[in-house]
Amino acid sequence: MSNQQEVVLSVRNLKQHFKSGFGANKLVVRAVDGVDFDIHRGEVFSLVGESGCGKTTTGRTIIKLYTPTDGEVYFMGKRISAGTLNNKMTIKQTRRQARAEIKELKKAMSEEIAKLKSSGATSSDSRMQSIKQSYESKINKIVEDKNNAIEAEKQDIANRKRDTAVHDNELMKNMQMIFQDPIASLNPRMTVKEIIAEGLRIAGEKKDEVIVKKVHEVLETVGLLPEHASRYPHEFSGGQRQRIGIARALVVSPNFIIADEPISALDVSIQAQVINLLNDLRDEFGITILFIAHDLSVVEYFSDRIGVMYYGKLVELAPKEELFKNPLHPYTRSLLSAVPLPDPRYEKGRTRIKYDPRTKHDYSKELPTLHEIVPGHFVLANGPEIAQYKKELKA
Amino acid sequence: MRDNKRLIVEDLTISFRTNQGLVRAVRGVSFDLTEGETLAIVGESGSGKSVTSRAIMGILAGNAIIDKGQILYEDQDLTKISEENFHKIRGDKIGMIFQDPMSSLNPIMRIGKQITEGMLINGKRLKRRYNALIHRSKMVVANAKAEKKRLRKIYWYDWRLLRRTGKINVEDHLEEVDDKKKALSELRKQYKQAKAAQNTIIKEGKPALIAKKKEAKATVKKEWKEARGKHLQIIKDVKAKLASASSEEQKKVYKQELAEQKENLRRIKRVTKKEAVGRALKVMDEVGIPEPKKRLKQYPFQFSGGMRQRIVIAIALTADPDILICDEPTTALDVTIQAQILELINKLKEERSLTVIFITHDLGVVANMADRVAVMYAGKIVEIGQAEEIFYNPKHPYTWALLSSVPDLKTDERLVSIPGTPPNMLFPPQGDAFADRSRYAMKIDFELEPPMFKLSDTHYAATWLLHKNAPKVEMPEIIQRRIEIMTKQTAKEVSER
Repeated sequence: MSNQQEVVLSVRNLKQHFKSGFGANKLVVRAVDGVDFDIHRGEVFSLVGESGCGKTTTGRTIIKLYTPTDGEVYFMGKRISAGTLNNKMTIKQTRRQARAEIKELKKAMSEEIAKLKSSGATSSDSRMQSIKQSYESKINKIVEDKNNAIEAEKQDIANRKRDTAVHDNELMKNMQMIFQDPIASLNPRMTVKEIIAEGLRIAGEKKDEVIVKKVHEVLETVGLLPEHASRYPHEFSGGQRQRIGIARALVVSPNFIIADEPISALDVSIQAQVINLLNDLRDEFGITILFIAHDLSVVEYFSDRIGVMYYGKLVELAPKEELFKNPLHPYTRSLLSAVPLPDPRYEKGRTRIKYDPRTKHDYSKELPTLHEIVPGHFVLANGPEIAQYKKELKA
Repeated sequence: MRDNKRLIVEDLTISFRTNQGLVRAVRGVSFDLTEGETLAIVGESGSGKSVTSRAIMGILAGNAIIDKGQILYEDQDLTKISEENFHKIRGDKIGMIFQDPMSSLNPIMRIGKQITEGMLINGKRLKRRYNALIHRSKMVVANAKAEKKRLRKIYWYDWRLLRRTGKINVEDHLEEVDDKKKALSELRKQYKQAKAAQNTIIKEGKPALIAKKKEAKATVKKEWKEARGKHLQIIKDVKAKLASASSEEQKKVYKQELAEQKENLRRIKRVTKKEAVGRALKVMDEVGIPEPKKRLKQYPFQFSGGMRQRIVIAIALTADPDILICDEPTTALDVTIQAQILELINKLKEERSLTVIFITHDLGVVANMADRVAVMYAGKIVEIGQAEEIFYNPKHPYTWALLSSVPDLKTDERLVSIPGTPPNMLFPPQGDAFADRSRYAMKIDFELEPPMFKLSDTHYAATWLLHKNAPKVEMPEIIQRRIEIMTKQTAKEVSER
């Protein structure tokens, strides 16, 4: 269904590792460890998972707040950032392999020469030369291959680095982010107008009249009044501040918004206001949204497709109805069972499914991959598990 | 205590003095708690739910005045007792879990120290015994003193307010000025009378207190001497055995016993470090922190959010409180960890028959935890009842609004958000505070405050819609449908089980 639609953003094997410490204290946190997904035009794609599973990091890497460790991000068909870990690994691997091969060849050569010497034949000198020559040519070929391969990888690294370093204002203007904390994400010393206009100015708008007009327009779009423009953030309530954050993202008329838990810091009644606002924006402007959240009831209400993350990996990805009807991965089930509903009778009898990856999976024989079980429904699983999930689906 | 009521809050009214005037944060809240019950207080931020709980804990901000009402706990009125006496209740009898586990722990102190700190500070057993003996006579004097202070605070505030309003155009309104003067002197007279009454109480109470103190001192000394003598005798015996012991093995056993007895002797006087650590380990195990021995030596940053919240709960539990106040304990956590913490609180509640006040704005959590629910708006309880009554038969428009603004897993339509903002409590609205934002507001709602209408023995709601002359209003369709779906679903699930 959605496959025919235009892909706005695609993420390929994205990895984001954070390193800290040296020597014995060295610690690599694999915040995002190989994530793949596509987002189509006009849809709301949600990433859910518990805190620390890397969903926010994914969002921040996509909008280039971090440089990815590995993998690629394509936005409107153009590669906007790419990591080089894989290339570096390949280079290391090639070098190691070449070294091993050369070592083996040299060993074989010396053995043959020794054999020749012990046989004591008279024509050994010329034979020795020819043997040496043949081996040397073999070694040279390996070295050359190795150098070529490394050169290619290095070229690729340079390309990737260049793509990441290029800052295409025109393109990146189309991607905006709404941050989680409406209090911390607004500069307390700037007026609302300055906050909202900052993006416009960076995008190259210089005329003050245009800026003021646009700011007033966008304030009205998010349900604030034009006279609010001259006030400071502390004069607003939580919900209004979040609206300012949304207005700031909207002012450059983007077609893709990353909303990083925009409602988890808000009160219930205000949550509803902000969700309704986002919903209206989607219907009105056809904005594509990457929605990051941990509240499944909101996600279910708001999004078209959902990706469930667990410790840096995407464990399940499916359209909303499919995911809630047939959750396959045990982590998704555990997450779904933890959502409290405003229904006391149900709540009193609800049992939470516990998820422990060490006991639920046996990955000692075969490592899991993201596998499409039914069209559009992906699960992270290995061979036996796929068979089991398929059986469960039919039942 | 009346029946098995643990805590009774009656007509509690709290305001904050600010430069703009009085902010009426809580306006006449009444509820009670029976033993082992969970009461959930729900409402938007600024509805006064946290202020109510802070009043119960006695940790209101300095500019707060308790205008009216009382909080009865074990025959004491918590609004009147002095700070010193509150030390014995706060933490000890009434524990509290705060909202943000990130900021309620000290980042540069090891977890072990933070958990045992309270036990060690409150651990002077002889002093506690002494304090318990003189408690009653001390309370008489202390209460009178606190009351005096409160009277003075209110008097000065009223006096200043009166004078300030009298300042305009003195010449034109000489009569008014006279009135003002009269009012001021009247105020002063009243204050002096009230003060004198308290003074006589203090005068009479002081000699009695001194006599009681002497008596208590003697009793404690006697008790201590007796216990010490007993223990010293035991230690002596063990020492004798040790001296006469022949084999190495026996010596070892006796040495151990000696150390134990010495520790016991120390424990009569105070809570020893060993005892506190042992207790901390037990409580940590209880709240589900794995490897407590190793964890004791770690710092807060080495724990995840859920684990930190568990530590906060552990700290609250070390004192073995009767009442536990949870102020949005899961708002900062995500669903899976929230579910774990809620399960933990429920488990502890059952094991220790804790009485819990649970403050939150998440209705899903309320459904999980609460036996009874109080919905607060603009400093008032607008609806109170059993959880099932509130969720399946809500009556107040504000409860409807709250319920319909929650997205749930089954609906697809637009959410009904509550229009507008909560009223400014500097100028509390006349009539029903929610009338401005309510679709169901009638004329009377803007004029007269609705009383609590009784729906059943446990279910009350304050809205004019329940008056017999009011037009018949059905609750919004979205909620009706949802309740229908919910009841069907639960019936199905129950039958499946």
